[in-house]
Amino acid sequence: MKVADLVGGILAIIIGVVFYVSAGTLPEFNLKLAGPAFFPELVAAAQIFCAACLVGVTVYSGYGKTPVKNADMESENIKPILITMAITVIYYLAMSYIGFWLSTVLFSLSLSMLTQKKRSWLDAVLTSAGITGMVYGVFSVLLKASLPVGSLFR
Amino acid sequence: MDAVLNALVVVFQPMNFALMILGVIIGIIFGAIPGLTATLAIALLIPITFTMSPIPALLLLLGIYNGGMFGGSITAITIRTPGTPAAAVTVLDGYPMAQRGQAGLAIGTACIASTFGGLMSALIMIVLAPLLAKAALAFSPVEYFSVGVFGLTAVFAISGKNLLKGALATLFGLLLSSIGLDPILPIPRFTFGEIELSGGIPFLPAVIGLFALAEVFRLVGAKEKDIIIHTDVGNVLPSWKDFKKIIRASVKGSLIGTWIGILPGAGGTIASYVSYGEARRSSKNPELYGTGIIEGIAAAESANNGVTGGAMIPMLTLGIPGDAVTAVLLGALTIQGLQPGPMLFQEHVDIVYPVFAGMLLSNFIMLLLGLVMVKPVSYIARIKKQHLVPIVAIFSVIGAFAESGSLLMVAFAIAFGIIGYLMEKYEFPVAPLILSLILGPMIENALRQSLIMSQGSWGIFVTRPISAGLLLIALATVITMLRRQLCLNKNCEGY
Repeated sequence: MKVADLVGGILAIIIGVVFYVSAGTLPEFNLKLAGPAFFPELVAAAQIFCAACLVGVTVYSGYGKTPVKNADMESENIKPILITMAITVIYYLAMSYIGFWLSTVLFSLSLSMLTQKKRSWLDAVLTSAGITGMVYGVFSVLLKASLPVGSLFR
Repeated sequence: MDAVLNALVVVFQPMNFALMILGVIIGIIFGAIPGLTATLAIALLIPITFTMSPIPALLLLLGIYNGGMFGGSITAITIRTPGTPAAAVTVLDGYPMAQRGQAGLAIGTACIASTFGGLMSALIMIVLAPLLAKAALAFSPVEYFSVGVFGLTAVFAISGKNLLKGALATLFGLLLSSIGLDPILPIPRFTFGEIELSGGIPFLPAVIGLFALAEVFRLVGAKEKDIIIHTDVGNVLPSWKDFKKIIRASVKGSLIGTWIGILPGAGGTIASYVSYGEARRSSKNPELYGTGIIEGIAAAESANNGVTGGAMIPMLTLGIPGDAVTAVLLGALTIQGLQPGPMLFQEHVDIVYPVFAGMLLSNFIMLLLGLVMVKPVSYIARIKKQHLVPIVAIFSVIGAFAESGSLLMVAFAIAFGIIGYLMEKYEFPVAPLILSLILGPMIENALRQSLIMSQGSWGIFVTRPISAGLLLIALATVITMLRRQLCLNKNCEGY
């Protein structure tokens, strides 16, 4: 039984239920089928049905068998992926306080160090500086787009 | 005739011409680097086109589209790693040729075949699109609903290995598309009091997240392989005898690619597999396919680039993207204030014809640049993860911010990046999600307007012939794919 399919199916059911219940609170239209709640309710119901089928098929096909790991997990290193997701979120949060420059340099440095085969601080620093400068050049100088300033510097 | 001449004048303006060349170069490079695709390149560069007027922006993006579809073949041939999924088939004959010291001929073949495919599909697009747009003027909301359902059904039925997962990805996208203000009554839905959500889920951060950031997460976890490069490219130009073989193989491939491109959801990958399979099946020497013959490369690459014009047809005429790349291009058009559909051909002929001219011209540019850029691109494709990952990640984040200057868009991009990564990892196809996000509002609007017209009767969808036909085809597609999947599970014969 593929655990991921089971989890995905259950999650889809939960999302479907949330949308269906929320749609029920929307005001009605003269013709119910053309009201604001109709389409989301229809889609949510279809999602719950399909998700239930997925859960059912997954449980049925895996009944009595041991859970199967996704083959991709064997060839992929999960830890750096989770770290990357975490530091991307931190980058987003940091930008709102310290703005573009510092947060981007630190983010780039972290990613570079995380993905290096052989540790080299010099390479990471140069990469970080280069990329930050390039992004600044493209967006701020060339395109005249504004970059995040950060509340600490306003 | 005036429109055509004006279009050529516009396209040959120095800035527009330069942007097309730049687009092709960027497309070839992005296509060549494994993990990056034309879709990602367009998603990352859309923010850069905000400051441009529509024509230069579209010419740049079309250059990327055409260049990207060819670029994947360079690394497929030289380092046995397709730059794009659509170039996977090119490895079968391309790499054996490189091993024999014929990398140059293989790449020259790929370039010529790609150009032929791109040109043929562009010409078909130029002929068919105005006709389809004219026919679509007579479409009512009923037909638009059926076209939308057909499009989405085709996408989820063809994408991925599991029909249920494809359906769930589609339905999830439709649910997300209903967030924001109701299209008919001005009341907020599922916004949870957040004013920023009243405009709905923003398209650009969703695309950047699903295609760019998700790829960053995947790249970080992927193992870096030791690569053997066949850089002794040698002569890239084929002999006259080989050239005739390429053209012969490319004719059928181009038509297959164009037709498959018109079908929503079926992109270059499916086209190249179908074309290669057909070429082998109809060959007098099928056993030679896979040993390193130019016909194999030509069949795959002509179909691969043949998709480009085909996919543009439903996108321009009906607002229904033919593949993931045109889905992103559709978003780019919308951001430029242009609404794809039959009215585009009525109100913006001054933009449509330059797009046509751009599709033709960028193929010629790709032919010239493709032959010249082989060696440098092979080396660029070896860019290390520690440099590639930060570049793509930061461009993605800042690109998402740049559209509206709001950090909330960055949050959306990151959320979609995580969703996109998890979906790919656990084999939930991403293409149906992005297509349903784009098509959802149109489908809902059309459905509700149709039901208002019919006073709540669903019969309106089956009593109108075009609508009935499309829904029937959609149903047949689902049943066929369901049977195929059930049979695959039980190892039936014939599948």
